[in-house]
Parts: sequence; structure tokens; C-alpha cells
Amino acid sequence: MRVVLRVLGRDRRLLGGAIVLGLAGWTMALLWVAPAGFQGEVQRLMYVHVPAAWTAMLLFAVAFGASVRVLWKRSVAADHVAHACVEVGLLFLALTLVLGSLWGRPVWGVWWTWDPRLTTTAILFVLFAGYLALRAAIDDSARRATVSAAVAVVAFGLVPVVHWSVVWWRSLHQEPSVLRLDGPTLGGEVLATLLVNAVAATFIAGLLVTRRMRLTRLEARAENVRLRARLAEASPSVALSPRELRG
Amino acid sequence: MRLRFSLRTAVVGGALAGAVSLGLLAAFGLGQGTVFYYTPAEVAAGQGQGEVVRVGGTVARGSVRWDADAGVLRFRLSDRRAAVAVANRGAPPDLFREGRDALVEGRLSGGVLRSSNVIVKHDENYDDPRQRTQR
Repeated sequence: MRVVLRVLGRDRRLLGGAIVLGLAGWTMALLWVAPAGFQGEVQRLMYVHVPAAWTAMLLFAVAFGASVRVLWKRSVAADHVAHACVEVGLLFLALTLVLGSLWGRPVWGVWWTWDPRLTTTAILFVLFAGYLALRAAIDDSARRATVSAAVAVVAFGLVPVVHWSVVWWRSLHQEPSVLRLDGPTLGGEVLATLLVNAVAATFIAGLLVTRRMRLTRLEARAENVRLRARLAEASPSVALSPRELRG
Repeated sequence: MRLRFSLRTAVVGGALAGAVSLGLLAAFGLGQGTVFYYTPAEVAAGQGQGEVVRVGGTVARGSVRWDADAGVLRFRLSDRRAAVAVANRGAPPDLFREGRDALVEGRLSGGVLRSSNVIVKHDENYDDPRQRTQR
């Protein structure tokens, strides 16, 4: 129990923020704001679907920056950041796709269609899933970091295309309601609810990324100890410290 | 012979170039070559004959007829310039309305789009529910 509290304690600001904002956001979305437009109650899915999409793109952007740093500085820390951000970003992107589908069925009439927005988003998902698959396939940590960083950098090139797909091409998915040059088409309570939920999603993502990175650091340390143990067996000059022996 | 650019510059530069290339390829490679749907004006100009097509437009007011016996929904899809007659097998989605946009997937035959799939389309504007007025 003490261990749990100590671990949670390090993230308490993020966790506190996530809980408060999440509760506030969901209360606003479910109990306060009235349904906007003509869709009825199902329109409330917007308050999770859109923040999930924005958060996924933000995470991929951070992964992009971290990956550039991996390639430029060969930074191990940056590799951990990139990996964690892609994992969590993929989770949020999956959420975006699932909620979008659940929303599309009652409103559009279809679970899915290969319009430009949905298609490019699906491709983006496959690319970043490929990033994770690639990491699982490469044992050498240096090569794994470099190759996956290159994949993340290239894959990020699709993100602006995903955003502008609804503007550049005819699509079923409507054009942006908020991230547009003329300013948001949403007003008042709808926009406020959306923004609170967007910040909440960012806090939740931040929490997940920091936890994942802590896990990665522990994995790296364990891997290091295992390697040194193997070396110690082979060569008496390599010895584990008492702390490492304790485990 | 001394290399003028370090390997890491090449790797990072290459990855960034790859990102930009992917973006540009996706953006310009398709161009308008494959459209997701035709407008009624384009259909009137001869597009989309003899293949499965999607046509998108506004459901023309006063044009909706539901033939319950045959299970066929008839309406006209219009843009400001032309209209396409649609005969759809089956009832449309719940949010289908006159004056709203729709996408119809089917085949053009004899000037009528015969379909079994009507998709309701909406734009990026969400009315403020407090200020909604009767139309």
C-alpha cells in the first residue's frame, strides 16, 4: 500500500487534475449542456470523440519531436518519450475511431465509410501500430530506437493530411468546427464543454504517458541488471553491486 | 575523402524529408482523381454513368415519397444547378429530412439513381440549442 501511495504521489498533480477536469467535463457533457444541432442526445459523443482525436494528434506531435531528438542526439530518454507517446496516442486514436463509428451509425446511417477523413485516420493508425510492431521485432535497443524514430517521423507527415482531408477533398465527415481559420462555429456552452473535456483528455494522456515511461525505465533497468548478471557469470571482473544483487 | 555532412544529419534530414513526402504524396498524389461523391450538376453533365456511384446533395423539399407497398423511397437530390431522382430500396436513416444533405450510393439507370443506401450528411455547424427557432 505504501508503495502504491508513493507511486501515485509522484503524479498527484496530474491525477488530481485529470479527476477534477474529467468529472467536470463529463458532468457538463452529460448533465449541463443541451444537445447541439439536430442529432439529439447522441451528439454528446462529440465531447469524448473530438478531445480523443485532438489528444492523439498532440501525442503524435510530441512523439515526432522526441523521435527527431532520438535521431539527432541519440537520446535514450527521448526514445522512451516517443514510445510512450505513440502507445498512448494509439489508444486515443482507437477511441476516436470506435466512438466515431458509434456516432456515425445513428447520425450518418453507416458504421464506416472510406471517405478521406476516415481513410487517412485508419492509415495513420496502421502506421503507428507498425511503429509498435517494429519495436517488438528489434532486440538491439540502439537500432530499435533509431528505426522506430524514423518511422514515427515519417508517419507524422500524414497528420496534417488527416486534419485537412475534409477541407481538401469531398468527404462525408464534416469540416472542422473548431480548428479553422475563421474561428469556431460552436458557441457558448457547447464550446466550453468541449474545451474542458479536451483539457481533461490531455491530463489523462499526460498521466498515462508518465506512468508508461516509469514502466519503461524500470524495464530498462531490469534489462541492464540481467545483462550484467550474464556478463558476471562469464567474466569474474564484471560484478554486480550489492544493490543489484538484492534485486 | 572527408564527408561533408554527418550521418546523423543525413538520417534526420532523410526522415523529415520522408514525412514531408508522405504528406505531399497523400495530399497531391490523389488530387481530385478519386472523388468521394459526385454532385447532381456533375451527374447531369454525364459523370458516374454505368458504375456504382455516390451522389451527394440536398434532399429537395417536397420531393420525398415513401411507397410502403414496394418499400421504395423516392426523392430528388439537388444542388443549386441540377437534381437527380433517387429510388432507394428501403427506409432511410432516422435523421433523413427534406432540406438536409444526403449521400446516396447506387447505380444510375434511365436518369434515376437506384440505390439501397442513403447516408445523412451534416455540416460543421451546430445550432445553439437555446436559440433554436422553428423553421
